[in-house]
Amino acid sequence: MKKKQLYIATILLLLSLMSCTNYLDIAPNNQMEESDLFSSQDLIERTLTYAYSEATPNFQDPGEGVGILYSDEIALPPTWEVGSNTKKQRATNMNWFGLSPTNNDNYCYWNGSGSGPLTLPGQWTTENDGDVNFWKAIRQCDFFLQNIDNVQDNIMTSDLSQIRKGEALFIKAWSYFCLLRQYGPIPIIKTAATSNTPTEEMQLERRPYDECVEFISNLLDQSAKLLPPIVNSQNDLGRATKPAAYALKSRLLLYAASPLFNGNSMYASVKNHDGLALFNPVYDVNKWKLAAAAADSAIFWAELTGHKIYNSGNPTELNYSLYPNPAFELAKDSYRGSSTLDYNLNTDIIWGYSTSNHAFISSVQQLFCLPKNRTDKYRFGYACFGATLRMAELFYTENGLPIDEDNSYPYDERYNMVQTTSDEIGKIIPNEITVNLNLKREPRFYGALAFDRGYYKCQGQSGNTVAFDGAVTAGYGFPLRMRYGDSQGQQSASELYYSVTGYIPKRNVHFLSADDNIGGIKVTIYSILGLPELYLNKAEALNEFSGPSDEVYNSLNKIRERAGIPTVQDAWGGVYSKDNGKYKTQDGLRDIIQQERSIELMFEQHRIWDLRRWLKGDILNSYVSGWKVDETTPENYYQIQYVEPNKRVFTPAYYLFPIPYSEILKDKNLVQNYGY
Amino acid sequence: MKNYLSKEFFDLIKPFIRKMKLTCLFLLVFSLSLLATNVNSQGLKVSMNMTNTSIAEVISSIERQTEYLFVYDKNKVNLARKVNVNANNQSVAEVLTNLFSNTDVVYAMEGNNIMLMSRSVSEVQQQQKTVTGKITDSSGDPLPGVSVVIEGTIHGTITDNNGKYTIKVNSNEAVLVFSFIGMQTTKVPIGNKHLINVTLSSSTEDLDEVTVVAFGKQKKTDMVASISTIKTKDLLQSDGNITTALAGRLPGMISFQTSGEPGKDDANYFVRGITSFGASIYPLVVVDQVEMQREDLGKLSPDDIESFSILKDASATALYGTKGANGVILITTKVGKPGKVKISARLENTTLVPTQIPKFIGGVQYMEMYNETMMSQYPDKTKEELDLFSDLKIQNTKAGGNKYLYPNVDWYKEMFKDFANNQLVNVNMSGGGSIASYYVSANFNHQEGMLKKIALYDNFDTGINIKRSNVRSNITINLTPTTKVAINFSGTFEKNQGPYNSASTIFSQIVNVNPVIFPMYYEADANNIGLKDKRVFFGNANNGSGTGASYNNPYATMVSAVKDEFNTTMIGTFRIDQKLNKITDGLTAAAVASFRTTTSNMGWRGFTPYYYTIGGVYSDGSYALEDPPLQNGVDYLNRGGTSKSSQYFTYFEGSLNYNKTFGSHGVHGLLLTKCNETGVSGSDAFTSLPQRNIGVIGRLSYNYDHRYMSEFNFGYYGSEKFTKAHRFGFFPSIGGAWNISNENFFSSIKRVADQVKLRVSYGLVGNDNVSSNRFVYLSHISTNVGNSYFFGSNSDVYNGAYVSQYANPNLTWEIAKKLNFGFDATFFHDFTLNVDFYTNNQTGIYMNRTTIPVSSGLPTQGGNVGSAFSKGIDIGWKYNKFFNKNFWMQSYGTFTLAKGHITNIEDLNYPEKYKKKEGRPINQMWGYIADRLFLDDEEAANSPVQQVGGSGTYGAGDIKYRDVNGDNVVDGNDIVPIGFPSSPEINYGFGISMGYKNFDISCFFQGLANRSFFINAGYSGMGVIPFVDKRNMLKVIADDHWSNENQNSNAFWPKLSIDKNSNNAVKSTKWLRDGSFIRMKNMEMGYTIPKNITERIHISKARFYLRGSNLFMVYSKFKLWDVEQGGNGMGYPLQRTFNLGANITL
Repeated sequence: MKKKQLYIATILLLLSLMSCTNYLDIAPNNQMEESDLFSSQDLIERTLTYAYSEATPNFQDPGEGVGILYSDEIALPPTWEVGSNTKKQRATNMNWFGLSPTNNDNYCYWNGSGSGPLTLPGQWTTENDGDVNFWKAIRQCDFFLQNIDNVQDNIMTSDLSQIRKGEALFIKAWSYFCLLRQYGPIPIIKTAATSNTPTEEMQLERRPYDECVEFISNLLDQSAKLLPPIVNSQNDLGRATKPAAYALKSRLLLYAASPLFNGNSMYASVKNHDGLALFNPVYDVNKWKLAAAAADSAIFWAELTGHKIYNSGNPTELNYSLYPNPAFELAKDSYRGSSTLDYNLNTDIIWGYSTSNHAFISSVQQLFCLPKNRTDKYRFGYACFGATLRMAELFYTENGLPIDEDNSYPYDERYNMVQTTSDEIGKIIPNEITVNLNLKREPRFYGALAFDRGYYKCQGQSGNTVAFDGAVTAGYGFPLRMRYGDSQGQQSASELYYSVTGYIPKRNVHFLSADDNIGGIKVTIYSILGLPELYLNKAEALNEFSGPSDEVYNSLNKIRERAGIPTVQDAWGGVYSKDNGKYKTQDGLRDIIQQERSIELMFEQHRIWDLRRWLKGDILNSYVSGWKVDETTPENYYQIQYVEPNKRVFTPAYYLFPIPYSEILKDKNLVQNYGY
Repeated sequence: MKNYLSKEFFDLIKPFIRKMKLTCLFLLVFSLSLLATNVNSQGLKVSMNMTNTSIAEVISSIERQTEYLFVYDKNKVNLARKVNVNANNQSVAEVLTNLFSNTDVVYAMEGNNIMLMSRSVSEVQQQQKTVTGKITDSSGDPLPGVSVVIEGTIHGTITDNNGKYTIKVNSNEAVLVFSFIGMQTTKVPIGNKHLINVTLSSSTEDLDEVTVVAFGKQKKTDMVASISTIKTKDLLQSDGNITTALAGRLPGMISFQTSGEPGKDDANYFVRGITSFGASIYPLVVVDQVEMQREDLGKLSPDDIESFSILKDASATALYGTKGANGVILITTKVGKPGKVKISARLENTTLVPTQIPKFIGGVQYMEMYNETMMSQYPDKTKEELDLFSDLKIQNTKAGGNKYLYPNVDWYKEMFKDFANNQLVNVNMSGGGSIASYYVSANFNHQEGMLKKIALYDNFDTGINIKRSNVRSNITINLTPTTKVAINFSGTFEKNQGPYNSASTIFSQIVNVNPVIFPMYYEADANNIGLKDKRVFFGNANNGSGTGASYNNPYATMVSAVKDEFNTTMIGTFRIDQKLNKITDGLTAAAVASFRTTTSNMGWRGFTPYYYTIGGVYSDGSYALEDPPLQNGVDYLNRGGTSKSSQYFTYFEGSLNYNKTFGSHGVHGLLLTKCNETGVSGSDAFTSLPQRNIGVIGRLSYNYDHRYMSEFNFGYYGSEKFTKAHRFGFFPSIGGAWNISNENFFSSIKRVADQVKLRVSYGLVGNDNVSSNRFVYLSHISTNVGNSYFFGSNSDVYNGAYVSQYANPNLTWEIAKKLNFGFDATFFHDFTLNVDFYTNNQTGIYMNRTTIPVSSGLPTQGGNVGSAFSKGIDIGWKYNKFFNKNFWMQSYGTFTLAKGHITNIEDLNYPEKYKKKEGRPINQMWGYIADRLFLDDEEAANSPVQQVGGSGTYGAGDIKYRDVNGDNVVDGNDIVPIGFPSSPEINYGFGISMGYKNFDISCFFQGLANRSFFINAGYSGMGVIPFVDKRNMLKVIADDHWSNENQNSNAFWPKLSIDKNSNNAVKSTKWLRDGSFIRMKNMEMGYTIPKNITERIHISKARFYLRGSNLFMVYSKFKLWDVEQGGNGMGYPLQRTFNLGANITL
């Protein structure tokens, strides 16, 4: 019996000794570590790809990008809803867009949470893909830069790794730049934080604006040295190149020289807790010189690598000579095409999101800008981006002059109705009622805006018409009738989506885009850095530094040439100009340059920053107006009304965005922006 | 040695004895059918022709031919005797009579047993003597009706009106068992006595009662730890779900139920409240030493439960170091007891009706109010310009016109039944002998829900139909006098059919549609003959914002997709206990191996519904459906899918146990090692890896004279969730107790206080479940598509790679430091009181770091940085009174107070002190302070700007909030802590039971307090906002809202609006409600059929009962729906149940 007991006890003891030491070693020991990201070319490429993905917000998406909704370019219908918040609140908030440090909903790129999924009936329900976080992009680039030089040739050739290093420097600079223009002075990260970094060391202070500019500028210089002039292959389109680095530097220095940051005393009181002033209140004209030089070298590299102002019109057009006014038609289409067409066609683009990137985001904006079509009541465009009347008035006359400076243009009767004739074919449907404002305008007006009784190249009506017998006739596009009850207008009072102003942007909409029945939305490119901007940068900087000169005019004329309008000298010096001397003075030329920039880069997310850096926020402190789109007769329709119930408020604080309150609470060294 | 075995058990182990093979053990577990076959072997015929064979051979021949088994004593029966047998189809009895004629051997047949005895033995047994006596209670009063039974037999009697009895016994060895309800059962060996008088004492405080503790049992009197136990009887809740029976029953348990949906109606339960804000807040559930999933508790059959305890303090829980920090629920299931087979059955039918259903307004009122609201909201617009309900529609709806043209749907009524019926059958059998004992049970539970059964296609029934079977077999075998083997096997098999969309979803969709928007479906009349086919013309409408159907038709949601779910849980536990007396007395060793698998398979199928709207009306009043429909559906099943999940759990344990009393010194020691592994059907490389723990635990306790008790426990646990440096945690605890009542000086007051005990314990308990993510201590690299970028012109997507989680080598255990003071007392024999005070300091709570600036660019980091402190009181009391033999009464109650607050949390550095979470209750509710409604637009314009819920528009009749920080803006900084926590701080219950003769009645009240909840005034989920998107309207809103006519600034609802107004939808004191209540939880009436009747039909006990639960609310400030549901009011309502049942014991 005793034996048996011992026997059983032994078994029990053996059972108890199961606790072998490796029983708990479950976690896979081949788990990838951060350092493993540099163990193969594929992983190195992916590491950098992540930085790209975190650094490129979808500016075109109203739910996501700061973009055009924060300027005065667009107004939205009052009932438009986005996610759980109503866009109405954003668009008509008494307090402008309610910029507030505690409201994470106002495009807060600081903490990457400024976006919400955009929901429209019949649209997608998936999460948006643009979880942008510039700080993550910066950290990823820093981490990449720490390691890329140690990569051996057998993993990645040093030629390639140096190019990738240049890209990382560029993305890092771009991320810092985006934060700088939105928030002003920002912290500069010296070493990438790790999980072991003490919290105190991560609680950084903001650095003075000039220091930030110098820091970013240096990054771009280093980057430009390493980057190739053009991408090595088609598969690399969308990667940074040498001209891109110079182009970004040009914009950086132009912004730095601008009134908001150059000698602005408003910010003199913004200091760190230790008393370090974050803004330099002393004006330095030399900053314009640096900006001009940067623009010059950017233009040099861009032209050297084959970039030129795009002037080939609509690539689907077979023959512009069929049109009664081919130059007009070509200018109109080239201007629109420069915002739409892909790398391989579009010689303007220096750096942009490549064709497929953010495809559905760009397609949504196109849907918002495509006209309705009552024959299939809901399936066509929403036409709910209303370009403001101010945008419509900004464009020049056909003589290339502002509408109030052209003595041949009936400026005071611009809202008066007129009967159209067949002379206006391609601009206005013949034998209809319109207003003077829509007549006798420069080609870009017709290339940028769709309006009642106008045309729109889209929806399968973008090119020439080929008859059964093979005869080809000119095609002007989709004829629009946009008054209340019309097939492209608001149909009922309860309708949620319509243009509240009577204008819809055509820019960013591909010529071939249509609804799904006809072929669907065509993916466009989103240009971040383009050649026209560089000419405008150069003109502005030079004029500010040294006043009017042929060099300034020539830069502007590169733009005007494509636009199909006379040169600066011919326009303002010509018979139609009310003030022949304007273009010869620095102040006059500044106005000309600023208007030219606003027209040429309209709906490309420039105006929001340009108005701020020019300290022209007062323009935004106003009502937004449009036509009375809920009227049926032309007499009633062509009445000006405020399309939002409240005045848009722009306070001096809004020149910069507020730093999220939660970050101020986390980081004791972080000071808030002026006015918040 | 005489084989004196009970008949039942002999049957059971017959094959075992034959083959002596271990595999039989397992066969045995499953071959319960043996029990059923034995009856048939009676009177079997045998044939044999043998000459000069031994008795032994004849016996084995009979055994071969029949099921009979012979039992005999070799010394008394001469097996070697040679006989001749010539039997041709003779009965066994005949053969045996011949065989043993003229010998001193007699035989007796009992069941399948044939006992061979020497005549002398059997004659001794025939000798009888008479024993008499009187039974009294402790006060000397005679006790009539006490049962007096000879132990191990069914022979017995009951005492007469004078408490006297007379019984005949066969042997002086026999033992008399005296039992009476409410009294301690007393056993008296007869010996030479003829007169045996017994005083029975009340059973309120069973001094020898043992309580199940961690990895063992302890005498209750010697216990140091804080443990509460509930009787199985109290778990027999009307709806068969144990979790809903816990509320108010156990001191220290916080429990409340928020949904009545079958299969999803488990109550939330916490031991001593919520003590952590980390990943793990729920108690550990252990059944027969095997860890269970939390949701398995609700599926356990209460009839199978022997004891249900909650372990509360460190002494009790330290041994469950890895997961015991939030308390442990320890359940043991029944085992067989030696004795005759005991069969009991319970049959029950339960009728369920909702306790309360939210009231909505009818269609006509809806339209009128909608129109009024629209017109007052847009005073500038004419009627024609507004999208109003037409007068025609209102008139015709009022007149009860064509129900398809002018629908007026009471969605609740159309889709839900008035009541549901559930059935339950439970049968269990137990018994055993000196070698083995068994408990086997089968339980079948059928539940249906309130959804109407609507089958549009064959096998496509959308009514909820849950069929659950539980089977259990607990077998204990004494292999040798010192070796015991226990095998427990249990299985739960559940088939859950019903609509694919959960009933709660369907319920909440009703809030989203008004009565007049569309009918459930259209009948295809003559005008729509072109559309004819089998399809259902579901109603829907378009709100003009897009194409197609804009709304959810709850009816279509319900009937268009069904699911079949099959869930299985199987648990097998093997346990061997070995006494090691030969090494030293009192030493035992044990080993346990246990396995559990859980699988769930769900398949669903459905069709895309056609949605129609009216296209036109003809002059004769008939209508035509618009073609094409709003949504094109199909007439066949076109949607479907499956999902599967499985999980396994293995557990091994080895232990040494020492238990010895040296005079007044009692010593107990335990050393135990264990390891367990959990695996799930994971979705990626990490989650599919098993999770493991190992541990060595020990207990050393010493008591002197049952007066002074001390105990030391430790758990040394390893977890794979941490780096090697932090992998093991040591969790010790100490405790002591003093039985004051056992002291000599106490004897003078013993008349008042029978027992008084003080207890104290302190110790650490660990928790390794710090995060729901796996391997938090390792770095993770993500290569997800979501972080990709497009390069090139060929739409080539390139995936990014980045560190999504950094290694956190410092990750370690969360530790709860528990201190407990206990007081147990019994007064006047009848009144017992248990009180526990405790504190619980939870440290190292893992949380996401919140002070790391975004500018670091780091992904979310975690750390063991939080801590929380909680304290509370648990009180339990019980009072028993037996007035006379016919009338007894018992009352009892519990009170649990558990308050916790955050002592350390990484928080933002708010300038407003009230924003800090430190010092706040763990489940603090936050919201704005709503003063009242704005009187007029002017007041709204002159008050601080309200930037609330992203809304900027508000005016007269909208909610006015307080600008707490005085910055003239009401925004997120003005959100303050309001109300009580969402989980109650106080839970209590009290009940009374009475019996008179064969009738018994009991009722139990339960309540909770210090709990708040918000009415969801928004649009999503369970929101109740009316009119927005044509949502339905609660009656209370229609009755009591701000309007131009009734400018009541304290109205229940602010100004009505057609549009969303986020200003009014945010959490605020306006929507904060008191969640406390007292309710009649249970009421039961029972009748036990008198013994003299039941005995005649061979039933030892039969009781019929009528029971109701959630019968009525005694007290609640909240009236709109069942307050216990809290903010979940638009979901599946809680149920009031009535059940009729029978409990029969054979």
